[in-house]
Amino acid sequence: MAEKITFEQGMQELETLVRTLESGQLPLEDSFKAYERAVVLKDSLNALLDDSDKRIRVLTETGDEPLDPIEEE
Amino acid sequence: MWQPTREPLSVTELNDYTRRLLAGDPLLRSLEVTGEITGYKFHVPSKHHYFSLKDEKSRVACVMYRQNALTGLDFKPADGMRVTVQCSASLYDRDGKFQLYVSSMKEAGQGDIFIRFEKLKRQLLAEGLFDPARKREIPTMPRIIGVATSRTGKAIRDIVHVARRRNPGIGILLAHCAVQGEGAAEEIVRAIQRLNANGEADVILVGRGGGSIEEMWPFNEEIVARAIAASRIPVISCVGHETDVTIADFAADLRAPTPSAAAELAVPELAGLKQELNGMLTRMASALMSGQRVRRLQLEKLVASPVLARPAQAMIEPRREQLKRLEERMLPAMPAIVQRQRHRLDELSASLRALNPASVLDRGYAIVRQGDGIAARIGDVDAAKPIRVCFNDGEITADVTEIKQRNE
Repeated sequence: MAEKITFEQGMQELETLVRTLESGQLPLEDSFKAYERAVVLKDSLNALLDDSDKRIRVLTETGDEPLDPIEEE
Repeated sequence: MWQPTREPLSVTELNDYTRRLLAGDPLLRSLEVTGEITGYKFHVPSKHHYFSLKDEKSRVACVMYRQNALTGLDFKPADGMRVTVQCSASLYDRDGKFQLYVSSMKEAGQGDIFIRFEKLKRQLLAEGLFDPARKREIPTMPRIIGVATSRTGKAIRDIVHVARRRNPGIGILLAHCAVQGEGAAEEIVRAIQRLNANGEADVILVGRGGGSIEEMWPFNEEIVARAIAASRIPVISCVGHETDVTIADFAADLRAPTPSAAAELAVPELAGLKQELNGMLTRMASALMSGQRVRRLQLEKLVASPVLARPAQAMIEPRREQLKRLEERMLPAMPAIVQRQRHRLDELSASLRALNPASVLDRGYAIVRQGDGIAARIGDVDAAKPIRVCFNDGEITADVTEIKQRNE
């Protein structure tokens, strides 16, 4: 399940989890918990990456309009 | 209807005539001109210098050839510099272009533009507008990037191209503004404000492609620097080329050398991020596996340990081993011991044999007896009585006829 976090926060937490697990200091039980958390984080971060706008718009004083295809190339 | 009054000139004839006319003028043949350098270009293959000199009202094209620059130029010319040149003025036939042929050039103090730039920079610096503490952090994963530039310029094309290549899903919100000429600074300010009011963009790119120092000038205006500093959304500046530095660059949260570079800084590569994400999970999984493997190995080692697996044998086996090792060491030692004893025995027997008196008699010795005793020396013998000479196999009784004692 994806949750509301910023990409920076998520990456940081994931990095910390990986380091802790790699250090080999965690007991078995906690290792599995850490891994489960990492999988959840990964899904959230992937969702953030895939959440795109895709549009190219021109912002005018009154609103926005698409950029001419010619100008976009 | 107009009728030509004489044979019309060809273009070449006209340019040739004008050039000769100018060449005949004593002033234009050798003069000094002071002005500000603009549009400076160093043509690398030929090593010639091309630029214009200008003042408030006018400009004139200049060229300084390589051979003149060797002796007549001892600094690196740049736009905005105030210089005095020694030159001749003539017409470049091919293009019909009036220009100065520069033989030497020296600095004539800094140009107005440069002085204004330095003054504003010092003022805003003192005000704390460029403080590192003011800089906002550039988001690593923007969803929409705002761009304040001209909708027809090269900058927006470069930005769209690079941003889309790195992340095809990125949204781009362009706030159009003039980026050169009269009123451009005000338009840039409004574009930045418009993007902030809209609030959708995660980061704003402000800039334009390369150009002369005059063309970039709006980005050196105080109102633009202030608008950038006041922006709630983080700003990346990208004005001109690598070497162009503007006041806007100091005010921005991050300076990119070009619009393309700004897009690279603002938009992370989606593929790279996904790879990084997957890499973390792989590292995690392998850390987990290796953690588990270590634990399993430890368990297996414990379970397989002899004390646990076959306790009785575990106790007996080492002792049996010990015994066997002792045996093994003893066996080779036995013959040696016997051999040594036998040798000793042989030696003793030989000694015994040597000590048996009978064996001495065998070698030709005899024993002299008189009465009951053995006569071992002359003094033991009584010449008046017979002696007995005993051999191994019998004895002879003899009278003593003469005694001769050796004097020792």
